Amino acid sequence: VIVSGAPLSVLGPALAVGASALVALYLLKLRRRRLEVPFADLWRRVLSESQSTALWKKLRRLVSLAVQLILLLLLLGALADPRLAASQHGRSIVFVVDTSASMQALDGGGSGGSGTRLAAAQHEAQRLIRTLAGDDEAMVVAMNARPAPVGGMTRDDRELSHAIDGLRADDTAADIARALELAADALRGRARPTLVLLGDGAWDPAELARGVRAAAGVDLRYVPVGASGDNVGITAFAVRRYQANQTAYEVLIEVQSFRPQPSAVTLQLQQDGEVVESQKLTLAAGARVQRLYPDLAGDGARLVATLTDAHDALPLDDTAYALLPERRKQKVLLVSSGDLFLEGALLLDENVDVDKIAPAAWDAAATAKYDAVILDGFTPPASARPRTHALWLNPQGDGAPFTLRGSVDGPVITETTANHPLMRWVALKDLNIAKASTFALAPGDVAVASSFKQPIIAANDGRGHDGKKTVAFGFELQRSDLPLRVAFPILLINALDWFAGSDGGLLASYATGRSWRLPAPPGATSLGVQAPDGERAEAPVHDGRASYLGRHVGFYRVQASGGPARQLAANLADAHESAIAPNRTLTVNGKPLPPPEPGRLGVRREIWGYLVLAALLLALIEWWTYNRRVTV
Amino acid sequence: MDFDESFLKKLEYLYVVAKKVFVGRLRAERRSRKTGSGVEFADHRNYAAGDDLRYLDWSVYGRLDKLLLRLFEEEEDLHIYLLLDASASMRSNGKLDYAERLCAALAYIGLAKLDRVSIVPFGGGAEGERMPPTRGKAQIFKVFQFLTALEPRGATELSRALESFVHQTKRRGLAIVISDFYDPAGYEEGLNLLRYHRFEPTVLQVWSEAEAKPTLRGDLELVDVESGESREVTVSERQLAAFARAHAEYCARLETFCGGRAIPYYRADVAIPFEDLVLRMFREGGFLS
Repeated sequence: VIVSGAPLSVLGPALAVGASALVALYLLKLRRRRLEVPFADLWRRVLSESQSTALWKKLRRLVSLAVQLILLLLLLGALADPRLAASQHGRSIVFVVDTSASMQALDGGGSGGSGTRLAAAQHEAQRLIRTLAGDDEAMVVAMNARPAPVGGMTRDDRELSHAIDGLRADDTAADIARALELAADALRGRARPTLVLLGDGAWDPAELARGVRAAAGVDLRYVPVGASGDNVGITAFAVRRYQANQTAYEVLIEVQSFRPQPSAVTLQLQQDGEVVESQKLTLAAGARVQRLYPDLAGDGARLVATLTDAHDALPLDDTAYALLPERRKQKVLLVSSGDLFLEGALLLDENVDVDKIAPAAWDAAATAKYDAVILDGFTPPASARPRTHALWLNPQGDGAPFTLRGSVDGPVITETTANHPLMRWVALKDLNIAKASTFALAPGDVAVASSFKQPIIAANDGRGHDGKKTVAFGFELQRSDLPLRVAFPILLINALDWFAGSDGGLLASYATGRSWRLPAPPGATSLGVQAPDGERAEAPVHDGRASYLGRHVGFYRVQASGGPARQLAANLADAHESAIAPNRTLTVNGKPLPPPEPGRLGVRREIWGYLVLAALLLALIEWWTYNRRVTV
Repeated sequence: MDFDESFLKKLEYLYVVAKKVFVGRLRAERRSRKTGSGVEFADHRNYAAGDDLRYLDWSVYGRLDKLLLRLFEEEEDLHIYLLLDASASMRSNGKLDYAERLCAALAYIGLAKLDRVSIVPFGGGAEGERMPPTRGKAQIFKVFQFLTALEPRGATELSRALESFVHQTKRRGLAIVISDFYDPAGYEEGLNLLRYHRFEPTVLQVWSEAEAKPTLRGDLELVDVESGESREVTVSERQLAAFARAHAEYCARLETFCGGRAIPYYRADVAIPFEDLVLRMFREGGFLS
């Protein structure tokens, strides 16, 4: 017998005090009611007949005391909450409960038929817990993007029940493989391992198969929940500002129907609560449509796309969130002896404020207030390097940001890093250069353009440069035809945008259930993240980025200690999770998974109920015997 | 005790009824039944220890082998002694009230029939406070006054009270003992004394249901109202039943005792109106006939 209620250190003194009080009351002589009778002699005669039972009279008072002490013992025993220990027949069970986004679907049944699938799964789990045998032990695993155990292996029904009640579905996809691996690990080496899957079964079959392989040798059981696959969801939502006109933006929305029949929905786009677009979409059965809404304008950064009349089982994916990239003018310092091509190209970008100084006026400290510096043919000494992002044109000498290896005459661009932000929409093919310096790259440096493996345009994203992004062109502009090419102003804008942290592409929202790498300001050790549900967390910064697992869709607020707050949007954006059609039968290795079986022994492990029942029975007997004057 | 107009009316009614039933003669309207002192044979009764052997009917004994006593009627002024228990035990359950009413009714009828009526209270401090013999209806108020002044207290001590009564009373007559007969020393000796001294005793046992079948329960300290003796008891259902049995036996023994000695016995239940009891006494004829 295991004692799991009040500890003996509490019950011991309680027993001592209670028993002492009972004995004291027992010894205490009660003042009897005084009553005058007309003929006491007759009473004396009647009572003297029962004198022979005086010994029994004393004994029955003792019986009365004993009954009270037993009552006290029973009640204290019940408080101790003793349980029967395990036998050899016990199973080890892991309840893997799906808490992914699809479990928020409102087709779980329950009162009014509008309970969530998770509620139905919890109900089933509670029912299963009640059927556990006295010697079964179990634990609960919540299966979402990051499956995790909720409590340890226990025989305590209450603990299990509490764990089940505490489960909440989040807005992430289920990682079935990882959940099964976790459960298999927990069951390793345990007697009669059993794994009970509770969920809608709408999982990736490949992932399921991988998980099942990890859980080989475990008795797999499945309890399906959910009834309907009726869903229409927004599976993608992205937004970007136009480069040229940053007051306008365009939005890409992807809507997918998971219905078996055609349906019509209204897609509404709101910017800071105001409707900016509303469109009726007709979707064929299982169709996926993409809509691009160009030339949208308006103030406000928060964009919310909603399917207003979807009336489906999963409302979660009827709403998607996006944030407009911030629009601000970049302050750029141009250090040049005068280059009209360069100045002209900078004029093209209306989002750039350019200050121009001559190399002689170079003051490294003053550069800190600029967003970027362009050093045109001027190389300050290594001790006076710019304190912000910098674009170096033809750096020379020891002050160069990348070590100069040598020079090549008439280099031909043979390799480019096409996916580097600098190279977007840029072609450097057939670029004519009279002479160029080549760079020796350090770890972290990227060769953006090379001539036969000799880097002549190099970039560094800040690593090893105090967090300052650096781009260096190893040639003089005037000694190449780059300024004459369309690529030149684009290259400049790309460089400045890269410095500003915006690459100008479609800014997709973050996807829930994945680890986000959030850029952190230099020097920050952690970022404070406030989730849409108000929950706050500190995300530690490593290598300039903070890791954070977003579990809910909506707008997040991210702030470094003392720094300005910024926002980010997160969406489910998972067609797999939006496909909520439940799987009533899970087939593993050609065989459907059976439902769980009740425990072999019907005996309850908790015996406090029996103790209280015994106490009640004893109290009843005591009451009856008292009224019959047997124990008085 | 309150003897009011309506009570007096009831007494008058009783008297009228009694008169219809029994027709008296001469000065005294009734004859006392005394063994041996008259000339006219009246009746036989069973011999009881203490009876005068001179009045045994030997011829009957010869024929029937039974000891019977011959009774003769004597004509004289009838003395009626109403021996009223005024002990503390009479206080409970309205017994004394009832006894006083009964006493007043009997006294009235006696007074009205020109008998000499005397009230002799006994028990506790009532010793010696007797009302001297009186005659005539008009004296009823004296009776009322006497009864009203009675205070129940002390022990019953029946035998001692009756002993002093027989010694202090020269004229024989009817001795009506009205009591609950709760006397630890017993009633036998007292009643026998009356018989030995040639009084004609009649027993009126004042009886109350509440005392015969008490409902007390639980842990109690029982105190005897007369002796003050206390006893701690825990009364159970079984003991209540045993007490009711014992009480019934006690009353039955008294009745048997009286029956065996030709002493008229009446149980005066306080729940029954006293006039009913008086009428029953007349009707059954064992009293004042």
